[in-house]
Amino acid sequence: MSNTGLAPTALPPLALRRADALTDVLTSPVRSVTPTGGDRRDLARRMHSALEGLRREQPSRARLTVTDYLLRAGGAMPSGGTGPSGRLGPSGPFRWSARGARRVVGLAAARRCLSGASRTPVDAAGEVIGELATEGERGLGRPGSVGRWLAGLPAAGRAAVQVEAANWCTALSDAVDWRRLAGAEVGPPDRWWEAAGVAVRSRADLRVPRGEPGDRAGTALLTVVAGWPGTTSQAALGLPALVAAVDGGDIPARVVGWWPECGRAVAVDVDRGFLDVTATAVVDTVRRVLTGG
Amino acid sequence: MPTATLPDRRTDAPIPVDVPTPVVASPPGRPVPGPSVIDRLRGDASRRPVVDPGLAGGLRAWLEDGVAAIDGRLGDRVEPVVVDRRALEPGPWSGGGPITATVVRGAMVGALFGQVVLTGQLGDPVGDGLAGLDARGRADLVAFLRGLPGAERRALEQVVRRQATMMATQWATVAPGWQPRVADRLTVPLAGGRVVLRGIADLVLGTPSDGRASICLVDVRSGDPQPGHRRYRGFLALLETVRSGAPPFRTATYYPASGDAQVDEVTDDLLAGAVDDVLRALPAREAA
Repeated sequence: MSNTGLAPTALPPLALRRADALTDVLTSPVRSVTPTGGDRRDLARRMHSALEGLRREQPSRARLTVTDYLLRAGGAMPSGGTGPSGRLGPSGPFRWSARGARRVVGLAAARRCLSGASRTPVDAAGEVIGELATEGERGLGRPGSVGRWLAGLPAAGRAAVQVEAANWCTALSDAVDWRRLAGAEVGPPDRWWEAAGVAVRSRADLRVPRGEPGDRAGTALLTVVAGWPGTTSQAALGLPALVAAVDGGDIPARVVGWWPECGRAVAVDVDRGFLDVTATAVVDTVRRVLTGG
Repeated sequence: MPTATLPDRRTDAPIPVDVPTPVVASPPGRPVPGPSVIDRLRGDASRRPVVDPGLAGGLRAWLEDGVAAIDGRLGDRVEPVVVDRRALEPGPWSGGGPITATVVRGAMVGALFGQVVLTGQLGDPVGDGLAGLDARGRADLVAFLRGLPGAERRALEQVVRRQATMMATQWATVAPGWQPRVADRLTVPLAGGRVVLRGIADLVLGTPSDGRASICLVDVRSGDPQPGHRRYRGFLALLETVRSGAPPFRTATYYPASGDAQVDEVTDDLLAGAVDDVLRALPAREAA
């Protein structure tokens, strides 16, 4: 594993130069060795085996979803136990909130800013909320969707969502120098991999195609994370690479976490060692959830 | 996918001339005469200080040295030692402790402030404030207000209405190009995350620094001025400096009850005082 984590003192002192630094991290050469086809098959086999073993030890019919959030929390769930629909996860019915909606609205707002459709994150967030609410009012989207929720909110409630989403959008917009990221995809689709009733979800907020020649061309992924980086952060960043590896997808060459609240970033080049660390963290997290430990 | 350059958000609004204004008491419900609060906060961009590139690193090193003195006593603590508003000015606080009318008032005024700054619009302040709290997942605060005895509830609602009207008068002209961030969370982890400094700036105005200080921070208080408020706005300035690498040029506390703002230029002395405040607060937080 090649850790190019950016210690705070290594960051350039000014915010604009930090955007340059993060852009450099997303585009600079990768030195790690690409996992081979054999590595991927071996990893998938070991993941299957470990998860099925855990299911035998702790029989449960509930489906467990492993997310980067769960991994960062070390398997700790707010109230523990089985959630709605028999799924293991945070218990109690899911309810949208301004904070819970900030990423989905913020991503759409960032796309609007980048396309020139909106002038600022504040404008963009307001416009996205308006569009989603209109769709919700017309009955479009599934029940429980963010659009349906927004449709039921009064103007002041929507303003609360705009506050959170505009902040999120600004954090992403100011993180990098967009002029140097041609072809970058804001909010690429989530990917899933499932085995033994455990679904592993990967997400990233920015996917950057890399122009590097050779087999490490691939992509770099940036994820915006709340709070500050901790001991479980690297493994959580590795989920997109792990899911791609075991599911036959394109393994990103580098994954980057960006914590705007504290101005810190962590970057990891993806190699076999890093995939092993992430896989181990997933299995350990599932074990903790199933055993309540 | 779209890949166009972000539009330049720095040029869409004229920068007002900085005219120092004394803090004066204003009649209840009416703003202070003279330059607007926003004008006083933004000042003259050409007179903003040049950023010392070594400042943020020096402040962080100073904090890390101070934290190192207690690091050995942290042992196997799972949760980090947190230094936040509670540590700097003990008192009612919506992030912990019992819910009181003061807490609800502060939370409603905070929600309404964000609404006014971002949308420039205000309906019925009490209805809007409650809807804002509900969307933030603070059903507990909504229930508390609804459960208050009639006279107490009416008094609280009256205060909220008056302060909301003042905010709508003074803050509805914030241009989106000033890149306002409302309720922006600021965090500085120290000692590998074993100690965390945490604050929320009710408003951050300005784009990232390009060599000069470019950010102004605002803390909104629904009560009367207190000595601890200056400490807290200095603390916010410290967090922003260490987080972004560039100090803000001003940090302010805004009082919608009077329409006044207490404003500090961010200087090395102010930031040094904030470091001292943090290090003084640490032992009590460690014991908590």
